[in-house]
Amino acid sequence: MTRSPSPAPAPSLILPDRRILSVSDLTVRFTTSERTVEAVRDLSFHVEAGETLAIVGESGSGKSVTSLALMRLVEHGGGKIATGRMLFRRRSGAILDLAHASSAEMREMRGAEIAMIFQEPMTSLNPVFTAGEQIAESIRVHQGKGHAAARAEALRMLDLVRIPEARNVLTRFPHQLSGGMRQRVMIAMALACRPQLLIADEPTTALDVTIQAQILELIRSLQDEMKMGVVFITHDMGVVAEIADRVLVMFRGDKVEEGSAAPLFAAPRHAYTQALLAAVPRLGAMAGSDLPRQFDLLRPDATETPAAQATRDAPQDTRRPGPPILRVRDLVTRFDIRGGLLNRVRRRVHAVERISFDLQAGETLALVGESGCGKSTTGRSLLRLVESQSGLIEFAGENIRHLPPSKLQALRKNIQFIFQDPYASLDPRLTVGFSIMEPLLVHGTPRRQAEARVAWLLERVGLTPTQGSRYPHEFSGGQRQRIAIARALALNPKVIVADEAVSALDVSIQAQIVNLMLDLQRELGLSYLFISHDMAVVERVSHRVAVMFLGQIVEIGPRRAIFENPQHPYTKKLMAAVPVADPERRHARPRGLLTGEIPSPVRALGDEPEVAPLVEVGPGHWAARHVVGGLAA
Amino acid sequence: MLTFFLKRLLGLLPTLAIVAVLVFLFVHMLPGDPARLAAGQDADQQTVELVRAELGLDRSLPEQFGRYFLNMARGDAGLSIRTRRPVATEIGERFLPTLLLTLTSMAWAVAFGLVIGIVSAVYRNEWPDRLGMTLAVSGISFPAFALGMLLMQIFSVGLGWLPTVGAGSWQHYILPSLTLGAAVAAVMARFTRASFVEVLGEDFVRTARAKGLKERVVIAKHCLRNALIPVVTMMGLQFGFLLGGSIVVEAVFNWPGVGRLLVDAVNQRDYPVIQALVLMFSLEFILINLVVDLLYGLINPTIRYK
Repeated sequence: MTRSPSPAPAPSLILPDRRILSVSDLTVRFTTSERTVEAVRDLSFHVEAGETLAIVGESGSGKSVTSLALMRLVEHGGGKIATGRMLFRRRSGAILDLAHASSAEMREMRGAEIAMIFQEPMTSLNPVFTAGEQIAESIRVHQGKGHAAARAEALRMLDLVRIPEARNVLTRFPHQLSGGMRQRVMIAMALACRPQLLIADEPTTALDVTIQAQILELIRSLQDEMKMGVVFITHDMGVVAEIADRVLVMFRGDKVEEGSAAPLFAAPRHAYTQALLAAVPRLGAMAGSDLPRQFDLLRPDATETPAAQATRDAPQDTRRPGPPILRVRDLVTRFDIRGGLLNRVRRRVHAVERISFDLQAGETLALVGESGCGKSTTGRSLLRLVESQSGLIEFAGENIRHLPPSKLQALRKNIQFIFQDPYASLDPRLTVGFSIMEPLLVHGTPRRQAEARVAWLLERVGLTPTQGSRYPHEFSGGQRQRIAIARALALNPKVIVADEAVSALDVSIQAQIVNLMLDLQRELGLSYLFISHDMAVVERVSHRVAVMFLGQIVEIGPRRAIFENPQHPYTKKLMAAVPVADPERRHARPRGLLTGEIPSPVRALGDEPEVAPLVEVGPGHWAARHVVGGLAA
Repeated sequence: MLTFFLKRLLGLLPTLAIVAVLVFLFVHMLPGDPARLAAGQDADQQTVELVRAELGLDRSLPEQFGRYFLNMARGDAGLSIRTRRPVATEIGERFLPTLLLTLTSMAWAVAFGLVIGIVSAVYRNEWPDRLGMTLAVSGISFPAFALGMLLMQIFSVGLGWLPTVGAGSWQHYILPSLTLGAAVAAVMARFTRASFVEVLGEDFVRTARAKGLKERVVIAKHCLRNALIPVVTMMGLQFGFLLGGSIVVEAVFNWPGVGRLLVDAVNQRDYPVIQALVLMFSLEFILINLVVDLLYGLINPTIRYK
């Protein structure tokens, strides 16, 4: 696939009146010693002033490469713009082809006329400089202002992005700010020189939903104020529906569909767009039903029998009556923060505060909440991966908290974990077959039997037994999560704690993994403790839901009751913040719910939070009536 | 920060005590009789016993240890068996030349190492990188005594620009410090390169470029400080090693440093000198580590001390 290099730019470049960017036939190649990859092929699109174009696609679709190509930063990552033109209207009105601009011209453009914000606000800010300095730097470079003037302007920008106590934030380092504040600082930095075009590369993916909603709102209103064009790159159809005027869908480097947001969501033309939209978990999709149901996949395996299709569509009633398999009462887990000359405890993180719940056999209980709410600590406390201070964790009639270390191993056989990042949780130096077999060997299964079980497990999670001799890096993210599930299943556990198990996956893969988990539940009678921040996925998979906030369960009950009739203000806030994959409903959400930071669970010694028993508001549906973090019902 | 500093200083005492015990035991386990060596080859048994009593070596081991420990705690290192002069004076005379040589070696080695490392990282896998890393590998693999003799042959004997041996003037420092620093510069270059390559791939470097900063500013301002942590660690370790004196370089250039003092003391079973030197080396290492830890905090504000 070789193309002749594009012709030299024509002497006079023309753009229609309101258009600020026009990309045509853009191809980006990455050449390594082994092969050449075309990350983006013959891509054409345009952006008008004041318009938001969303570029959507899953990992490997070339969306981020496109954004880096616009900034010509792709060259630093080893990419090369092979063909194409990227015409950009400068502030002066002159038109510049970004693909052929000199590096001095590009430096003038970057940060001044085209600015960019990135996914990870923590790693995208330099840890050794203050927030103020990082904003002021760009003002000094492009506007030639002095130190004092640039600092004053930086303060004005922080006010503009609605950071509380902007003057203090100016002198703080990135690690002293919360995730949402960091992203606001990034936005302030990007907009400091009032660019014509803002490129936002997954700017809200790493944020909690309530913070995500605030940041989207902020980008939208600043866009109105500054009349800039926005290229918004995301994998999240919900976010697209919230923010986009037009949508460009990419798949493996190609454009598959482009159009205005509303018609594209209502009637997607291309099969890939349809599949993508079908896989998006939609909040409210399960309204009116009590039980979990699998995702409809528009690209089902060709081999699927009608019988399998039928089980896919049927709601799953896997709960078995009887005493609960796991009972938690008044569990408290706190972490000490030490300091001073004598290393005395200064403050405590109240990670889990007197929570109680039951888990039936064959049931999925979802623990939802935002970062720092204690949901992961709860999961870890169950397995005694962290020590809790008081309360009762009863599994099969035994209190886990008082189990001697010698009996812990037997317990861990019955409760297994699946983690968020399947790559980080598999040893890269071991074959995946051995990783799956290891727990069996540890628990004394003979080698030959263990090998047979690994083969069975691999097949069960949709891989082939021969793949067991490969290493983790040879698999895709979804396959790795299947491997992690196989490993968790190796010992025939009764309970699986799935800690954000599908959060890092692309939506279509996420749907497959969720379906796999539901299949396994039906066949093996597993109970899941499904820890997640994603309300829409939780709605799909769970029988019951517990909402956590500041270490406490503020509301617990049947999934249908929680989603259709939320009682606690925090649950309502969480629901309102979930982006809805429907542009028509964009402005339907109640405003004003979404302000403020997530409060901190760190407290001074002796400053115990108020905890009161929950009050029953419906059959099996309990909610907090006391004040938690300033929220009261 | 101050609490951290005080805590670390307090933590230093037990470490020194343990080192003192170990070095005492180790020294007394060395084969050979210091009284016999001090009295001389031809002395009769009576003289040797006399010398032994005078040195306090006829007492029991616990008693000797008690006296040694109390004296050390008072800051009195005793008299050298070999020269009958106070150990403090013996070491004092040798310490300054070693310190100055270490400082000059470190200065040029760090400067060169950083520059070569940064250039290699920025032009990764291009010719400046290959040249820089070839130099670095040669620096590590070329033996110090050979380099010292080669330099001396060229600059002192051949060209006559520089003095050969001794430590009288500043010119005397040039060749020994080049010899001593070559390996350090090479190690620094490799460390800087590795650390810089990693930092260059960080997200905030992309952010800095997206701001429209010049590549020079991106490297010198945004990358350098972030890449410095492992480099400073290595710098501290190397500094500690050099302060211990280099026997080879001191021998080649006839340099009056602590390395040779230690060798002489061990040969003569000069217990007080050996003990004092070893204690001094460990104190140096501990203090350098403390300074390195404090530097971490200055370089990177995310590292906080509690």
